[in-house]
Amino acid sequence: MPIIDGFITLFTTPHALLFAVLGSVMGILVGAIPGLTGSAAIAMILPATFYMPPLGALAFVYTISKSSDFGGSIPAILFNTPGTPSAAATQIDGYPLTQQGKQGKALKMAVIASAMGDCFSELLLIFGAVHIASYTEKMGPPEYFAVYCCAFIIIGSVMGKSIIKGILSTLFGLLAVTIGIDPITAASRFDFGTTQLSGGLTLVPVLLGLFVFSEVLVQAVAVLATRGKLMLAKKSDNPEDNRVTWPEFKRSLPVMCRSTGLGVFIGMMPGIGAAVACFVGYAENKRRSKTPEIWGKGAIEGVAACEAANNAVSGANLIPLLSLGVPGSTSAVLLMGVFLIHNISIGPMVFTKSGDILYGLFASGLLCIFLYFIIGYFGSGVVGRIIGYVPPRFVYPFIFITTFVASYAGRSSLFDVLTMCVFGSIGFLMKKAQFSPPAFIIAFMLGLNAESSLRQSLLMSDGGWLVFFQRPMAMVFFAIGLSVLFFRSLRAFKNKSQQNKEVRI
Amino acid sequence: MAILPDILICGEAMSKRYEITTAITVVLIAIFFLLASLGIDDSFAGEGVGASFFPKVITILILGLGIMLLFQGFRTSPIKLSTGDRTEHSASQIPVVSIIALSFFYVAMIFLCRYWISTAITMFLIMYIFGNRGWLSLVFIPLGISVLYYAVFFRALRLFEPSGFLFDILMG
Repeated sequence: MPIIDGFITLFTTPHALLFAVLGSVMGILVGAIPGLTGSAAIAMILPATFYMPPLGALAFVYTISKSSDFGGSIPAILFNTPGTPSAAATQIDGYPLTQQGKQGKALKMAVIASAMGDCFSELLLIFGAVHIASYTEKMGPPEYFAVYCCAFIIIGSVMGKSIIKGILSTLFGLLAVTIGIDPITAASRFDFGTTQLSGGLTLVPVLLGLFVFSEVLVQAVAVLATRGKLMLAKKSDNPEDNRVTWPEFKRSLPVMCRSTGLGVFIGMMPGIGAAVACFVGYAENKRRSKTPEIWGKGAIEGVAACEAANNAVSGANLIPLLSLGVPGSTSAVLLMGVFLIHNISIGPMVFTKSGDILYGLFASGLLCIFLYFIIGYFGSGVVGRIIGYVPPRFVYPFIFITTFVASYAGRSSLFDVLTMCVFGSIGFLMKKAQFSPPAFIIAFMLGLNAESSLRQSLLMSDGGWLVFFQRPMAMVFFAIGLSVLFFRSLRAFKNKSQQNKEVRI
Repeated sequence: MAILPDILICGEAMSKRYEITTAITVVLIAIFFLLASLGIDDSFAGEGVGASFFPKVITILILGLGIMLLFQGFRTSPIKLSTGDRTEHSASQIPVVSIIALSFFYVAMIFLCRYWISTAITMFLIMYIFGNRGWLSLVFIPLGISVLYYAVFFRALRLFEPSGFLFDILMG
């Protein structure tokens, strides 16, 4: 079985094993710091992956993103402040449990649910992605262009609150990637006569600016408004309040299964993500519960519902990346970046050309789940105390300085640092104006591939646009994208009409 | 502080003026890049489409959606902020403007004065902006961080250090 070979590869490669363990631990700490997501931390260390061997770099990045999803639940439960957006729903029932002195119970349930959701998702990735990839091997440039269009439409219309702004964010990302020299004809595009722009914009400074630097700006307002440290509530002395009992586990099991299914489905859709999954998991399970009135007041099933859903997104999110070459989330974009840094092509052929590295990566994912389960089950309280002890007003200046050296490290270029500053300001304004930085960066990552696919398709068909209508698979992907846009627009229109009715009443 | 534009004041509820300002900005960006794309050389296009096709299509789509956003902005209900809210919102954006200015100042400093001096000064300023006070926060941590980062990135990892324009002049 390839996954057994993956484990052998991982355990016989000391640096890869070390980075997998380090990433698992770091991810929990990073996710537990409010405002600092796993993606932001990975963006800061991305330049360092240039110096790492491929499996070590991939394992490091992957395990950080996985364990940070769990790490975000720790401050959500202990301090009513989610460490990551994906833990926003966990605080609904997690914090009331803390207020009752049952934070130990809440944290243990969070880690059990996270591990269960994540494990199922990872197994689906390991055994499912290769089968999906086998269908996509027959795809040519017209099909790939259709896939990219479908991804841009879905990501643009689903990410963020406004469809128009989401699609605009995607289009701006596509526009940004055209800056520089055309890869086919070498014509200059939007360089305005400058040498620096003729080389185009590189991923790392844009990513650091949009996600990390802009977050520092957002947190500058939040930190100064609160000023205080995060205070830990007193734990109950009753041992029953600090563990998950068998009846509680039995009650939560169907909730975890349902949330895992929802999380996996949402994870496979590009653009939706863990933040949506946790709310969908919570809402659906509350709706089906026989005692919905206790949800929101410290129901242990509420914590289980959120954590199983948000962690189940993790593995499933890689399925479109590995089978189609389309990253559906910021973490997937970063992982794709590491693949490209190490000259590993993404897409269906990755299973045959780089199978040993890929299964080593999957093995590191399973190891990460085991590690964060152990650390989370026995050490979440310690992590909470560490986070409570270090005030955010020390953390963000440190992150600010790190973004500068991280953006410089790729090409030793001050122009890259300037790019990071500009995109940081743009990212802050985008967040304020309710545009979508993740949609921008996904489009930025895929834009040149999309353009190449389009131009190759037209060259193949001697300039005829009918080539897209002659390929059934291409038509299917166009139809999926347009359907999602149609239904999303319909829903937005209905919500708006409902709101207008309520205002008139 | 009421002179700060709405663009820096906005929160969850978007004001009508802010929506319109955003839409106009999008339209202007689209027009700018559309005009710039007319100057892209397509002489080697051959069969299929040339280098300017993709940028032109994208900018036209941005222009179209920007106009839709403008119409949407005109239809948005105005949300009136009180003078107190406006002043409070404006004041809360001072750290943001300061950090953005500091970031460009930092880049200029690195270009002029090399890495570790610029980092020590910038770290002092950013710690101050974030509300830290005292010798530890404003002196020891900035100096410590700048030395640590210099040692890790420019000595251990051997990154190419910016030479510092002023240092070049002083050294002749």
